[in-house]
Amino acid sequence: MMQSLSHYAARAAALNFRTECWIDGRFVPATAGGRFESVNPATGAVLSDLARGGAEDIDRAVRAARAAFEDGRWSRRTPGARKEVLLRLAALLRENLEEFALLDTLDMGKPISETVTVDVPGSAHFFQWHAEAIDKLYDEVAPTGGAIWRLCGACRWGSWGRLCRGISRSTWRPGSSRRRLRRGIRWS
Amino acid sequence: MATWKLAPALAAGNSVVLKPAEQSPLSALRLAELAAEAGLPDGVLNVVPGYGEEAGQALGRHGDVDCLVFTGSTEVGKMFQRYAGESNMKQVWLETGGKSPNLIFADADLEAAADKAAFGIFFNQGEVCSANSRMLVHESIAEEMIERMRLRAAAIRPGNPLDPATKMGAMVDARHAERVAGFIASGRQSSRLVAGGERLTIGGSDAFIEPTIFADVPRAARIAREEIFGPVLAIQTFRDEAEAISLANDTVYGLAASVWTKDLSRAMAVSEALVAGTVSVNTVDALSAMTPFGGMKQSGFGRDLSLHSFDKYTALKTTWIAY
Repeated sequence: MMQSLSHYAARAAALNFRTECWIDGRFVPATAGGRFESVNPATGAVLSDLARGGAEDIDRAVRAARAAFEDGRWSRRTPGARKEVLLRLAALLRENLEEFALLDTLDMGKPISETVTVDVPGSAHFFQWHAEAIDKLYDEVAPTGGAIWRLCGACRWGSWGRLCRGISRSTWRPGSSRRRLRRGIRWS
Repeated sequence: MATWKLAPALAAGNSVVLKPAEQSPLSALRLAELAAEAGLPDGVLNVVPGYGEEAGQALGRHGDVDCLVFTGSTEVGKMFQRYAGESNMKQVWLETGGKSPNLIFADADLEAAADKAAFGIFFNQGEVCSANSRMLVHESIAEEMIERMRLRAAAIRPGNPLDPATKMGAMVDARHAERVAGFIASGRQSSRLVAGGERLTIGGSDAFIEPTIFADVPRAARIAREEIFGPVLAIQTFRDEAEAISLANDTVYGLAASVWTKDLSRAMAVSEALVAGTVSVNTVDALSAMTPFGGMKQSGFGRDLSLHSFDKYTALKTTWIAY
């Protein structure tokens, strides 16, 4: 439900920004100590300055990601256990919907009417959808015959990077794919 | 937010390093904290804010990143392919630019088509990779359609994004607003300005652009060929189905397309002929978590959303067992 301009303005003014790198479960400053500014494009005002991550910070983050992946703290949990965590994240996003909507509106200039009704609910929905799907995907056994079976599974990548430009696009409405759903592969 | 990619990657069990766009790092950092609260173990999701040429390039060239996915410009997407080739041959999946056509045939519901077309180009200030930034209209209804679009553009005034009544906010930063204004200036040279065309200063910021429409846009015009990533619509006309398809596909991009007609055979034939990752018939930019989204040609490759999204975050492995 939409609130008034004065409500959003007051909440925006009271927001606490997270401004450091998030590596291995905690906020840490950039190694080189650099900062850059996050500007509200709708006012030109500086919202905050942030850690200016560089190659050393990326390397720290990749090492943390690799260590987490190799020891299996997440990668070797059952799909059902991962689902539970991501469903909780979807619920937390909904509980904090207004804060996330304000963060994106302040950071990107996008109307609050869109971030409240489309972007943040969409993000929660996408976490929920993929979480619910992950324990319903099966590996494949190929009919090679004889005494030898071929098991075809899917192993996860280790650490991966992702970049995005500051634009979300997350309306969703019914549609259909003309591509056939692929046969059931997946997951060890 | 980064959830189209984060959700399947984490669900599949990966560890992730996220470098958010320098214009919008705040929600990504808060999301990481919230994920920890939800129970995601330390180290599984890491967020490093910073500049593309520094942190982004370092990620692209890192020797221990297995897979990199990127949403952004085609130019930067190509850089990541190069970084991968010059480092560890990490897999790179790209969702890049677009110049998506919206084809309006004479038998379409023009009122509905105009409403959706306005959404397709003005939603999020046109800063949408699959924005329907080209309208291709049958010549017999062109002027009528241009007038409908002019009225819709005139009804949208950019304003304070925090105001719930605002339908169009600011461009993502002043530099991008400058770039969009440059495209509008070039459009004034090549084409007929129908609506908007001004960069506005509101509340002390000059990052606002009026909803803008050009008609009589030549095939070779910059505003017909290049991704503007702003609220600027280029309208062109066609004589018949063949010319419509030829115009629609005359682009280096292939992200999305829309077709408006009540003729089922034409809808099917044109949908099939359009080179685009998603074709919407009698609507614009249809989308669901259940259906794949992604590009053809220089709009990228790999699919977000749907079960196919997991393909990017897993590798097939075959194990033979003799017994």
